[in-house]
Amino acid sequence: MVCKKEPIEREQVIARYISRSLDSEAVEEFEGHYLGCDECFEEMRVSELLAADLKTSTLTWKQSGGVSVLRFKANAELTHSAQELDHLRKEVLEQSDSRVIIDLSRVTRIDSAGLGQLMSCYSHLVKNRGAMKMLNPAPEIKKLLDMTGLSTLIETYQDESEAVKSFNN
Amino acid sequence: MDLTEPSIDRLRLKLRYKVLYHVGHNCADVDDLVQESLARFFRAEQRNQIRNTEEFGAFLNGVCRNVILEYRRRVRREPSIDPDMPIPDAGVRPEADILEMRDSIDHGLNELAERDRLILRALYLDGREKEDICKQWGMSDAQFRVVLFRAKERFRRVYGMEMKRTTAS
Repeated sequence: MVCKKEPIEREQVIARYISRSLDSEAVEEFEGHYLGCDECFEEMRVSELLAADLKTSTLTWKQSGGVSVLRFKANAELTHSAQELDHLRKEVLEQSDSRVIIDLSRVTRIDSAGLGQLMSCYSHLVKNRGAMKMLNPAPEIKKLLDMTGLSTLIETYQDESEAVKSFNN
Repeated sequence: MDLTEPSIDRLRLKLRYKVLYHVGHNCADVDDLVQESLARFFRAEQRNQIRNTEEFGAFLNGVCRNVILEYRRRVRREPSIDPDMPIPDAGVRPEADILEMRDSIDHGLNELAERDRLILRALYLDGREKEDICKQWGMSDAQFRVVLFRAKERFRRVYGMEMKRTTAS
């Protein structure tokens, strides 16, 4: 039984369940257990919250006028090997929100992988009948977006409320 | 067996979690599946068909599994009239449920050291074994336990808020 196990062992079962790496027999056993055990169910939900936060740890998210605003928590680089790129992909491509503003104010560098990712996000949202806007890029980032023509495709704003309003135009 | 209103609500919450885990967040019939599972479970309880009422979780899990299987068969047999209607299959991660409470997650890992974050990522997102993680970071079991339980503690408050929200709705 899961809760009779040593706490770290139990946590490993929970972690595998959350990441879907338990085999089907073990999933059955664990579900049969937590349906009758409040303590293990609570532990699992708490672990799930923790795992969800780990996934989005470089981005904050908020709803503003029915639009999702994504903002980097600290200075970020949208470059080939940066984890921010992975988080951005997950946050935009794997979620159901279709109207998204990406705040670039803390982005200090973008390379071709980052530009490609912004394009993928934009295409994904447009395909899902949504839209994407960019907010507050630093002057050097703005210059890059202009040079590559990305800013003619994806609207860029300096003010968040204007960006939110633009979704209703 | 405790069948008071709060414990039934709790069972409903757990069943909802299991159903979402298997059919996905896009499935429109989640609440019907939960209700059907509960109804069958209570019928069985009234007929004294549950042999071990102390370990009822396994029985309830079996009931819910059958309800999900029957639902899948029905959906595959009856082609949907609406081409946009999602067909549940392998399911999406229940973390989609967490999106609804992203505001309250409040990024509990903000103040965590980068090393602790990496350790937690290895456990929850990369699915690595505890021994492997301890070896890589030169930690003892006790140190690993401290990292793990300190981080989880930050999310218990969020979980408490989720429970209040669920009970209120």
